[in-house]
Amino acid sequence: MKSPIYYIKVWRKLFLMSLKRSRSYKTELVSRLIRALTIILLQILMAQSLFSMTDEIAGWTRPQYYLLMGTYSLVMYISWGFFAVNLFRLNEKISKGELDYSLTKPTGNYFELVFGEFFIDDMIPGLGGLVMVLLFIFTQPVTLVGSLFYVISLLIGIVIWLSISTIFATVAFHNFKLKSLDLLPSLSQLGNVPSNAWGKWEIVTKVLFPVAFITVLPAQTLWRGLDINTLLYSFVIMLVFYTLSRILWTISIRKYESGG
Amino acid sequence: MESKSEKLDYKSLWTSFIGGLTIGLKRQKAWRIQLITWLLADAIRIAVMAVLLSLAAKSGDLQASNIVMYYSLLIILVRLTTDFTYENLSREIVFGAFSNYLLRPGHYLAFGLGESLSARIYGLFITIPFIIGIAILYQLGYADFIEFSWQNIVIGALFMPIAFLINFIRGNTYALVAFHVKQIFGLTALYRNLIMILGGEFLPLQIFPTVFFVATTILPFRYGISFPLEVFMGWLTVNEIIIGGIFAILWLFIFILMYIWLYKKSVLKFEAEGL
Repeated sequence: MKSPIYYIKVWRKLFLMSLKRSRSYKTELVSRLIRALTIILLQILMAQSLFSMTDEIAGWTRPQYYLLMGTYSLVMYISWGFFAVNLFRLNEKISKGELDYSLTKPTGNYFELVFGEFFIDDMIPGLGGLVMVLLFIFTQPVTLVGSLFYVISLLIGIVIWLSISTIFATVAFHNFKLKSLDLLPSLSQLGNVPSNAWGKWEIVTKVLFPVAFITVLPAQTLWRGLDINTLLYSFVIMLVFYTLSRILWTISIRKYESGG
Repeated sequence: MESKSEKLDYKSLWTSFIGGLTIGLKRQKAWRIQLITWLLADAIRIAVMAVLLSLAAKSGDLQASNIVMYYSLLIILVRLTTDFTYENLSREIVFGAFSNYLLRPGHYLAFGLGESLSARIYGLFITIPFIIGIAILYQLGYADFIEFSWQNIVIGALFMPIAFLINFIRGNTYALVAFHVKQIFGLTALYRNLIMILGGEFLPLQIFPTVFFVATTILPFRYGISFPLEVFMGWLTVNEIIIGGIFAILWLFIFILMYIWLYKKSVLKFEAEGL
């Protein structure tokens, strides 16, 4: 079992490789920046259209909803950069017989297949989300402590999303023709809706598919203030889902049979 | 002797088309289990939009059931008219695999058309639950803002093949950019986003600001998805349908001409060196 320092060093090299790749493919970088701008405009357009019909959505005002959208963007695009692209490629690797090579790497199969490459280009559209969050922080009454707990909640949310994505990805080891990860973009949209909007179904977003902790809780921490019980509960959910994802991963990868 | 590029061999084109359709159907059949995922993904998306938009509607006119009907119709149209062959094509140009198409008889576009149609045929299976859902909601009276009539359905159905062809030709015209710009993946993602926004796939175009809506009536994206949907829903007057129809056919011809011109310029630049 290798130490966390080892993995940090490996990941640092992956990060530098990604930066080098971005420098080589400048056109890609520029088009991603333009896409980031388009996404910001789209989000603003959507929010403006929604709020032209009402003053609040499920108790969330316009700045608070922008914060929610910004948080959603941040979580999603950070995920794309760190692990989502790698997981999406799992089905293709299995169908093309390229998985065997990944399984022999010294970093271990989980690190290799989940974090094996870092995609800085795919994170760039998240800049729009960052702008929205920063705008909220600088224009609304937000404390430094609130911002700190926002970051902690965000990190918890990202780990929960990693766990959910990994659970869906493990289906590929059983049947590589079933791309269960194609469900995630739609499921992630639940994070764009305040969880209390679901009424009696809110429990689904907090237990079964805890997307509320990915976007809604961090956003609420910033504008409503810290609720320590909710934060602790989200931490427990994070541990439960992460443990479940690792167990499922270990069980599922044992079922993998190389076609080569 | 006439060169291959000068004489249009219709028999080869037809063979290419049938080849694409056959191979496409076999591929779709091999991956048919994926239909379950897509069906669930579409259903979840409808649920999210229904909750969000009905929360936003002040007056209560925009009921969740109406939004469910709207997005169900939208998904049916998206499954039957949207084309993604441009994504594979641009990747093959960039990685040098396009030379395979140059060696084959016929034309890659005919092959791609067959492949795309095979995906539409399998897309029909996904639309069945949504068609049933719409029928049930309509019978229960949850169609306040939809004026179904057999005339609208027939006219809407006539515009659907035009919508598909617009999406197909436009997408394949865009894919030719890969001959000139190898770093295409970010651009493709941007192109996909623009189609979704300006085509009304994300939110109905009618709820956007007026200036934006007017712009979309001139641009070609609306005619790939939103326009047939608006005809089905009975949201357009006869004049609006005629004007929209003229725009749709005009854009189709523009894209065909653009494709022919750009293809001739682009294929000469092709070098199968890959990235």
